[in-house]
Amino acid sequence: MHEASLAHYALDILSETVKNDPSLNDSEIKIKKITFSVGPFSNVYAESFEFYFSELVKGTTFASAKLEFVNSEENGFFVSSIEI
Amino acid sequence: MEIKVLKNVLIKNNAIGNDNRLLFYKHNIFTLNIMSSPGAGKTTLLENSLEYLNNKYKTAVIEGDLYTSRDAERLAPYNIPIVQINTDGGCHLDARMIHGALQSLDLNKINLLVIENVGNLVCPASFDLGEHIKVLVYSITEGADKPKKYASMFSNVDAVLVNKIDLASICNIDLEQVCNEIREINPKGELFKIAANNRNTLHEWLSWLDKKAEEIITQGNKK
Repeated sequence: MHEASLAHYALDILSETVKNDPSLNDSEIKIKKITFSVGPFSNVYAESFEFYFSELVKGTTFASAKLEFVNSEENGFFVSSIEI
Repeated sequence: MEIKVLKNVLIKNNAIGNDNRLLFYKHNIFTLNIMSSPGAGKTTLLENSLEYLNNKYKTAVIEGDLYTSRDAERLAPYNIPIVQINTDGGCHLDARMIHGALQSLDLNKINLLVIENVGNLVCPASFDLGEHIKVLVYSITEGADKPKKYASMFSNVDAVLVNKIDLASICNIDLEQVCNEIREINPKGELFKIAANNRNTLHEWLSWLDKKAEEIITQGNKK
C-alpha cells in the first residue's frame, strides 16, 4: 500500500521535470506516456501504483498518459522517461 | 518525442534520509531502525535491551505506530526521551517523518537513537530513514516460509534477530533450516537467535550493537 506514497513522489518528480524543461512549458502539451524502471525487490505493485497515480493526476498534464513499467536489473524504482 | 528523466522515485526521501544521517554524524548519534511484522517482538526486544543500553548510552526512541501510543507507554518506565509518530494508517515511516520527530529531541543529549518502525514486513524495507543500521526481528511463530516470501526485507538488513526460539518445537519449526535459509538470502547479515523476553538470550545481540555503535560514535569523534 506504500504505492500511494510512491505515486506522490513520482508526481513530484514529473511535475518538476515539466516545470524545468522550457520545451514542456506550453500548457497545451499533454504527456502521452511515462516509463518507469522497476528493479529487483522494489516492492512496487504496478497495478496498485497505477490506481493511485491515476487519481492524483486528474486534471494535470499527465492525466491521459499511458504508464509503462519495465523490469530492470538496477535496484530501485525510477521514472525513466516521458513521451510527448 | 521522448524525454529522459532517470530519477529514482524515492530521491526526495533518500535526500532527507541523507540529511538525517549527516545530523546523526554531526551529533555523534548511532541510529538503529528496527523493523518486523506486527507482533514479532520489537517492543519486547527494546524493553529487555533498554536496561543494558541505558547503562552505556544516552538513549532515545522514536516509536512508529499507526494509531496508538501503546508501545511508547510500555517504554515510559525507562525514563528516556520518546517521540511518538502516528502514521494514521500509513504502512511505514519515511525520512521526512523522522526529520520532523528529531525536532522534538535534544540531539546534544543523546548518542543512541532507536527507531521502532511500523509493524510491516514489506514497505519499511524501501525507505531510507538515515539510520546507520537496519535490523529485522523475525518471529518464527509466523512460519518458516517467511524469509523467502519477504526476501526484500530479509536481504536488506544488517542483522536478523530470529525471535521466539523457545517456541520452535511447539510450532514444529526446524530452527537450523530456517537460519540456513536466512543466511542464503542475506549472506552478509548477522543472525542472532533470541527469545526477546529472556535477557539471557540477548548478550550476543547487545555486544554486536556495542561494536557497531563504537564504530559510528568513534568516527564522529574523529571528525
